[in-house]
Amino acid sequence: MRDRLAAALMIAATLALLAALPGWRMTDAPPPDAFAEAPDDFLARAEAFAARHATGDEAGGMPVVAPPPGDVPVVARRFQFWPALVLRTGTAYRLHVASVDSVHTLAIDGHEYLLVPGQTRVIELTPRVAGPLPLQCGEYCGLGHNGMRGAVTARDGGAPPAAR
Amino acid sequence: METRPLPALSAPARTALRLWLLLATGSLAVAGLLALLLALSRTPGVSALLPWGPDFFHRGLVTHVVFSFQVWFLAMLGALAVATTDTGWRALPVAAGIGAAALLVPTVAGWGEASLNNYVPVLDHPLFHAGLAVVAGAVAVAGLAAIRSGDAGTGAAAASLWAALACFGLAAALLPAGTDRPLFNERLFWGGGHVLQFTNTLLLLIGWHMLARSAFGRPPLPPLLTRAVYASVAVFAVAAPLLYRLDVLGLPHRQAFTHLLWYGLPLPPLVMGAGAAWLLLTGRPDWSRPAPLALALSLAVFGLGGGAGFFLGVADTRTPSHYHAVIGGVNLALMGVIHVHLLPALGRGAPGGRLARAQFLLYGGGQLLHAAGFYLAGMAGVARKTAGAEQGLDSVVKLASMAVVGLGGAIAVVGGVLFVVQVLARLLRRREGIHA
Repeated sequence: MRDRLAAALMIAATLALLAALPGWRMTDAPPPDAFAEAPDDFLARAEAFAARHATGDEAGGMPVVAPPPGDVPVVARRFQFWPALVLRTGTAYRLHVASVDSVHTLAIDGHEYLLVPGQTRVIELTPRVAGPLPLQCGEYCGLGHNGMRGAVTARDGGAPPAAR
Repeated sequence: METRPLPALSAPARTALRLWLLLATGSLAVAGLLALLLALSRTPGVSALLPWGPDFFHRGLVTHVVFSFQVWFLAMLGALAVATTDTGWRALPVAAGIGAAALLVPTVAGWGEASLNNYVPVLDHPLFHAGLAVVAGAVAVAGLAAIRSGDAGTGAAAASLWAALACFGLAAALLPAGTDRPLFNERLFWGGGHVLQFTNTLLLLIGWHMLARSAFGRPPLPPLLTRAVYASVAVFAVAAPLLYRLDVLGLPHRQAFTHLLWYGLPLPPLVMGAGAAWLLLTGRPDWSRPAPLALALSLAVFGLGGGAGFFLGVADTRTPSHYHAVIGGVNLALMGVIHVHLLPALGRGAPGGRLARAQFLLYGGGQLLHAAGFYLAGMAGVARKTAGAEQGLDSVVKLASMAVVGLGGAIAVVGGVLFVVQVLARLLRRREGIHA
């Protein structure tokens, strides 16, 4: 009798879990804004932006860029997020992130966003604490995938360092 | 019925079981050899002497993972299907062996790019994919006997393998032509790779059930509850192909399979593990025997890995901590089943005494250290699937935890080698009926 009751409870728990499975989407990240943009056009925009706001320093072979508040283009490609960024805490940025080669994702702040070439994702970001800001690709994209991490640092708020 | 006591096997079934076990333990031997070559390929001075190029590390890593994980587990499902149903389909382990040999050809010949995609990493060459399909297909056909026989444990494991194959097939059909190869392989094996974890979990549960019965004379759970636990795992696996209604290249598709594991996998091992732990605590186990030792170590290692699975990072070494420990837990259960049930069923005796205890203690203890080290390293920020300077071991915590990883791994390897040598030596003897 006990065995029968335990088995019935086990089956009931299994069916309840199975029924609850579709609920996971309720807790998914809100869909970010996105717009169509050709990879070459996006790359040109990102390079021009980086040239305008580069600090003159380098990090991991990339130029360090200290952008003003607002739109900040970030290129995703094997196996980097380009350029390196220095952001200010308490300042609102809108990262424009797009892949220029294959499918990647951007995992940031507990959420993950799919990056498909030809589509630019807009992600709101306001750093709260100073320090490195973890940001990486979460979709296997080749042997260097695990090293595809962003070089983004938040510094205490105030005016961004002088750009060139 | 729940996993039943093994029947006395007919001569053809004994041959088939012996062949499946040769493939299973042989795959561990191949994986161990590849692990040694991987280590040598990273050793200054020695690496230049190896006949393979600098990309051998990734190629060898792929094949090592496939043999130590997929081929070993699948061959054990084949062995358990034969042992519980007394079927003598000898052609199936032979076919699976040919498939496994086919995996080695691209590895040695340098064919195909290494793809370190999740669950089933591959060398991107048709022969490698064909080898995987033959191994999995042969085991799935062997599993049909288990499904037909009504043996709840192996039947559920075989059903979940068929569900995994359905997922692989659906992914292959749905992935657009021209998909970037790394992404293609990732998504081809993503869904089915997740479902294979249900198969592996069922192997673990079957192992706990058989070991508990051997150690204490009774199973960890009563019969109906045991069947319900097996069915609970199988239900999630069989439902998995429905998730292919989501875009196979989309993020929701990827996340849905992760959630399938979160919802479907914890409860059954928790229930049967609680029953097994209760027996260990109250049943006065005889620790000089392999059955309670393998059961206790399997519970501990799997418990560590299962717990870690709920607290993973995105791409750091907490992930290998989780999967090394859960795989280690399944390995310990299967090692125990081979010693306690399958070798005796073949009349090939089971190695006993100190040596038998040593292999379980070394393998289990080593896996515990290995996984704990990986978890601490991941918390400190060490990235997974990296080696050498790429690891960025720039703090004492990172260095110390990776040292623990190395020490635990070395201890586990000694235990694994002892197991493989002892079992292979008995399987390769020409005559049955020789006891240790």
